[in-house]
Amino acid sequence: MKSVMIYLVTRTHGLHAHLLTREHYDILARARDLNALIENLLKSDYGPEIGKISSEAANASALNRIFYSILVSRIYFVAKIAPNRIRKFLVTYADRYEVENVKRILRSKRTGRKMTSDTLIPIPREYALINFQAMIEAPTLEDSLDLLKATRYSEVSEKISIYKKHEVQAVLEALIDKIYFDQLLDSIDGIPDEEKVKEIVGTEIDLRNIGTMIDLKARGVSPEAILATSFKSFRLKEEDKNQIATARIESVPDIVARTTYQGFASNLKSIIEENRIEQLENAILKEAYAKAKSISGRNPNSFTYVIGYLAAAEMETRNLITLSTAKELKIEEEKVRNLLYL
Amino acid sequence: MSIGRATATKGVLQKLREQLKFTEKSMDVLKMKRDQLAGEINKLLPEIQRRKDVEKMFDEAFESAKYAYSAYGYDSFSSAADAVDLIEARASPTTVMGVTMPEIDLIRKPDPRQVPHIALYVTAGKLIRAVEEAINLATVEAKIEQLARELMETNRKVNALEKVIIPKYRELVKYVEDRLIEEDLQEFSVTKHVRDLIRERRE
Repeated sequence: MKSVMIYLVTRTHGLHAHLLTREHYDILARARDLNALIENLLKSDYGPEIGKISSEAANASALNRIFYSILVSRIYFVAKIAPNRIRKFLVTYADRYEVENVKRILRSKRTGRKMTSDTLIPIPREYALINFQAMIEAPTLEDSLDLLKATRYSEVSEKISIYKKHEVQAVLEALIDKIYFDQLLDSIDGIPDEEKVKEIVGTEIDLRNIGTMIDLKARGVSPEAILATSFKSFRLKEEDKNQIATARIESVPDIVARTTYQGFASNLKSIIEENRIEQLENAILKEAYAKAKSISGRNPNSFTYVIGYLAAAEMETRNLITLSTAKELKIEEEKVRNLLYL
Repeated sequence: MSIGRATATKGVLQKLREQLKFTEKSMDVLKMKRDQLAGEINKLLPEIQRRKDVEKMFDEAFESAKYAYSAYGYDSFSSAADAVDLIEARASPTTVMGVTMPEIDLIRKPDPRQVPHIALYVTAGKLIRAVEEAINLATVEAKIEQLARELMETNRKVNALEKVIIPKYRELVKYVEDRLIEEDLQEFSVTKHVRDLIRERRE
């Protein structure tokens, strides 16, 4: 292993030590209210940022923004210390936050509702390739999409007819996700521990692909459009995707059971049969995160560990968002625990 | 309305009889209106029983919203809401038997399919259905309130006519009739007396 790689992995081990542990989550989940949760977080890496907001302004919304800003700074920090080839992959990986921002802007453009850039995930200037402000100020959705023509999302404008045929925002978002995940899968080629990284990232892509197809099905989108917006597969065969796209939602778990993801199929089956479809995305992320955690845990001295750290950092953000919002809404501890990615 | 003593003339009697007839007819019309109003209320009452279902729908929608809100956080949740058009309703009052009743038309229903993320899509569907049902229920409740108010007023009018005004008219008509008969009898006896006097002088 090259010395830069050793440095990156060692440094990531150090960074990983800053992440919250299961014990931390236990304490946070038991916190009697949002103030108690904030008290506990003041002792963590989030302390300095949370300390900057006044107690009156300390609500779940303000905290959520802090969690995202710390996440983004963590991920770009890893990219910054990584060797060139790996940095390119890590920056592509971090583009998921850019994707989220693009989606948020396009949603407001669809209805013409006003939005401000402070509701976007803060991306460091040197990595921001899209002019979000210009997209926000664009008068219509079409104008906003025009601004994407000169970016890596130019394919959205080319395939806009699929969206126009259905006029469903989820189709537009699936197109953007497709561009992102396709590029992410391609960017893995040639990086260290390629196979294991593909196993982690590819699993996430395949599972999200299944989730997106079910989501679009639930909205009555045609099989042709579902296939046109489906992502490049890692282990999912074209035939599997075709079957998922054309089958009824109830039959999807049986199709998934015949793929590499048979372990997830039983969970998917119970979600659909018990009419808990709203838990689909949570289940997919839990499965993908468990995979990342298990592979990176078995390979602590390789680049895979870095990917495991990125996934863990993202899940930490999701967990903190869930905990802070749940405390504000006074949701029972047991219900909150079910949502956490541990 | 006060009905005082009237001069006992045939003209007055005729006028009083006409007024009594008109008032009785009015009372019949008001009674019909009262029955119809009661009928309308009876027709709408079963719909009010849906209130429990609507409350349950709201409970479920809020539980689902709480779950989705905590899973996605404030910014993601409100951004997802940005993708959906606002509900647009127009109030167009209609008049039934002189009662102005609210009628709410949903001009634009929000399309939950526009809400990204399957969890938020499910929540949005539940919330939109609950809001639609609540609007329908509120319209029914407002209609019943207006009809009930009109029913009470009509009932008061019917009672006033039936128990006070019409009996007084009848009494007055009877009084005038009695006076006229009395006057007729008096005139007859005077005439008879005069005729008898004339006859006596001739003899």
